[in-house]
Amino acid sequence: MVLPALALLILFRYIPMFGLQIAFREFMFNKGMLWSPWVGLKHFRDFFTDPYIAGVLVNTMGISLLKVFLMFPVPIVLALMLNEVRSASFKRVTQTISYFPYFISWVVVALMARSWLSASGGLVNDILVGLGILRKPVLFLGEPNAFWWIALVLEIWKNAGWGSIIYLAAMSGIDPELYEAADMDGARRIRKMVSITIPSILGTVMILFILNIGYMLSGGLYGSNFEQCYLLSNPLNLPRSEILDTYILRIGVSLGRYSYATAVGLLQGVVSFILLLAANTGSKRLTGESFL
Amino acid sequence: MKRRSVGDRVFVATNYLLILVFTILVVYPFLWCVILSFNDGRDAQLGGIYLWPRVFTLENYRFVFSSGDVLTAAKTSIMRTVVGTVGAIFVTSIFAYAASKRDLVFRRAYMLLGLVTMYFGGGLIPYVLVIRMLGLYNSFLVYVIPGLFAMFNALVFMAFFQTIPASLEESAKLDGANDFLIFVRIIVPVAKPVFATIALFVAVGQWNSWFDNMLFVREKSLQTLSFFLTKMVNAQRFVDETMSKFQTGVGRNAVGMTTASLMLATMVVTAFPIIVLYPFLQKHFAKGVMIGSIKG
Repeated sequence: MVLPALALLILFRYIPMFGLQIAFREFMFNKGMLWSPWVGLKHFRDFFTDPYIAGVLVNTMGISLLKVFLMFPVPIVLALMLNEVRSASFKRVTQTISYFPYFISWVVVALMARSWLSASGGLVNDILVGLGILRKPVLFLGEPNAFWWIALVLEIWKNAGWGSIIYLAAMSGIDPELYEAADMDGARRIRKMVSITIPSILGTVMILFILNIGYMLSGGLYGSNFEQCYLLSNPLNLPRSEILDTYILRIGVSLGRYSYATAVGLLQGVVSFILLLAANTGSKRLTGESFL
Repeated sequence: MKRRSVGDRVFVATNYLLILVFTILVVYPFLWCVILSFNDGRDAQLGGIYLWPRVFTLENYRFVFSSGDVLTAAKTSIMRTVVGTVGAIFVTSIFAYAASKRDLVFRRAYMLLGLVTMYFGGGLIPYVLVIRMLGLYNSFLVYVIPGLFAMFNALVFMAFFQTIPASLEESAKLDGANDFLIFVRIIVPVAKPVFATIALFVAVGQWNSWFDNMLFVREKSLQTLSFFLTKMVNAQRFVDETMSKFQTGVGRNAVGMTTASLMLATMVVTAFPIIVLYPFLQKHFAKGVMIGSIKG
């Protein structure tokens, strides 16, 4: 019964891992992964002299850090708010609606975002010009400096609702007696939230925070950075929208520099893993919560 | 409930209001796109449409549904979703069932083999090369086979299977049923919620997937709907060409359509199955995610 799964793991997970060795070779199609000439650390040296890499790293980290600081707390706050709702039907309706965008693909969201941000009849420009905040419509997706913020807002729109589900699950495990005892003491709701609810979900918060750090160089906590950057990039915003994953795709698949792109990917993976371990250790020291 | 303090009442009211605002901010931009897809494209460029189409038209949808590309792509997407989901559920659940048995030989080795893949991978380029090497290039199978097994889903299955009391299986064993029969007859019916949850996630993933299409499949007849949409997102020119072909081909005047209005209509068509099925499935996955998160 385990055989099909094992075969798939070997074919699609372990052979590619084995294929990482082309980062140390000069890959040629006629020689294949095993017999292409060995070049040692050449591609890694190229990495450090690559004139584009600095910008790519800044964007990768910039978008991720923006999300760590401004996206990460949103689902927590949302869950805390939903937890205070007593009306079951109100809760169900709002939850159903707020989870919904998570199931819509980034392709669809990117397409909608183009309409929202369009300079001719776009919702955002329409409202901002209507309110007198902007004098004339702005081509938001053509503004390099707006890109990170667009990525942030779209991420919140798509995934914040869904992100709250895990905290709500943690809150549903809180012993009701704690709240009852607090009621006896005449505690206000905000007091109960601060003294009971928040401490109870701290473990969950820390684990997601660790994961968030671990995914900083790759897809981001919800794995959306690649699709966002790939689908919403254009020649105008490329200086701010090119991240490691899109760069690897471009140099590897489009330009055919297989070995170099593999080396960049390998470095990305190694550094990501170190970040994950570091965040894990840090969290263990500070809060006693760890993931691995 | 006893008397509530003024502070609590303000708190509760603010809370409801903020949640309401958030919900509207989530749902309205989406509705706006749907409204626009029913509006004349040229007219929509003027802006000012908020709650109802100003120049109502079904032209955008007429165009989408008369375009052979969209229909072929929809067929491919449905195929990959059905085959991919059924296959993945089968492969993943039988692995998880076997691995949830403590007496399975080499159980720890199998688990380790799976768990490692949750943290390490070969990255994009080696994966692309392996797919080529295996001859999956330009084949429908590339949509299905690589996604048949994911360790994370197996763990969710296992968490559920381990809660099933062993006595349930033992009586069947006494009747002489083999492992596979026990699995199909006894385990599957009991574990329906977890099957529904994983199936939903795999199906949504399949329906939304476009990257494998872009990387591995050139064949136009195997194009998926999501990938068709990315081509629209990426190349306005592509849409313009398709539109001009349509206009000369059918010989009718499509003045009111713009690339933007067509993209919105195609977008609504792509998102439609998810919108329709979502409310029915929502209660299942909420349960499933709870199972998953308790384990994690």
